[in-house]
Amino acid sequence: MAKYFVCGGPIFEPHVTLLGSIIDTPEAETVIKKTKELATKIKHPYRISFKDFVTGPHYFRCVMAAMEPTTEVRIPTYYSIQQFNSHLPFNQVVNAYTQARAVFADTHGDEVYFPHISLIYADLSEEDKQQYVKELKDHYSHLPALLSWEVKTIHIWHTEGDASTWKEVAVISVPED
Amino acid sequence: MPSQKYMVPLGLLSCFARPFLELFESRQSGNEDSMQQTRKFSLWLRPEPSSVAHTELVAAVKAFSAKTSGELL
Repeated sequence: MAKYFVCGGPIFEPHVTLLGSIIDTPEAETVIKKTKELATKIKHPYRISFKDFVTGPHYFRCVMAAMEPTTEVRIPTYYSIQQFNSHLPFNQVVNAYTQARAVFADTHGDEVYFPHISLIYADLSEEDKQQYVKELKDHYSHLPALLSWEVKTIHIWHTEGDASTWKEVAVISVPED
Repeated sequence: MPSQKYMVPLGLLSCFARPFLELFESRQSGNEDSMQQTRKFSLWLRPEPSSVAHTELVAAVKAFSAKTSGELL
């Protein structure tokens, strides 16, 4: 499996983070069990696609391919999701995120969701980030349109410590309707 | 033994070096703060290794990495 290694940043596998703040569920077996529950709530595969290259404000959101809309989507809190989720016109991606937060009872994670594929993990100046985005737009403008796939699986990763040491724990299938 | 006239006083050297050391320490500190954002477990979505999305992503990143003096493992 190919891994990124650019700009002196760490090696990591290409991915979209569905939920990156699972700190209250320390046991892998429990995470697997809850992710299986999440998969049944998502119920059927859904498609994700990307729109543009953008920069972000910190190390893990340095230079990215972002979905449309290419800005953060503010998500209600876990408690609001329980009450109003079925009435809100969230798209499938955001819905999967809200379901994930609910299953994992994540009340302290980000209340904004920004689905993206990171291309670089690094602490760079805004000028450097913009230079990399320009390079991507100049030579790989076709890439976001090609980065589209049907989400049929949820991958559980152990992401403690340096990104180059992260390991895949399990892959959970999203059931077909 | 260097000639005394070419020796730089340690205090003066320290004075010149301090801003660079502080800049380095600041960058290191920022990186550590970033690293502390890593979590024990994360849920990821990934294209199938045999998919067009995965193939194109890897190919483009490989080329992009070469342009930015990196390498793809």
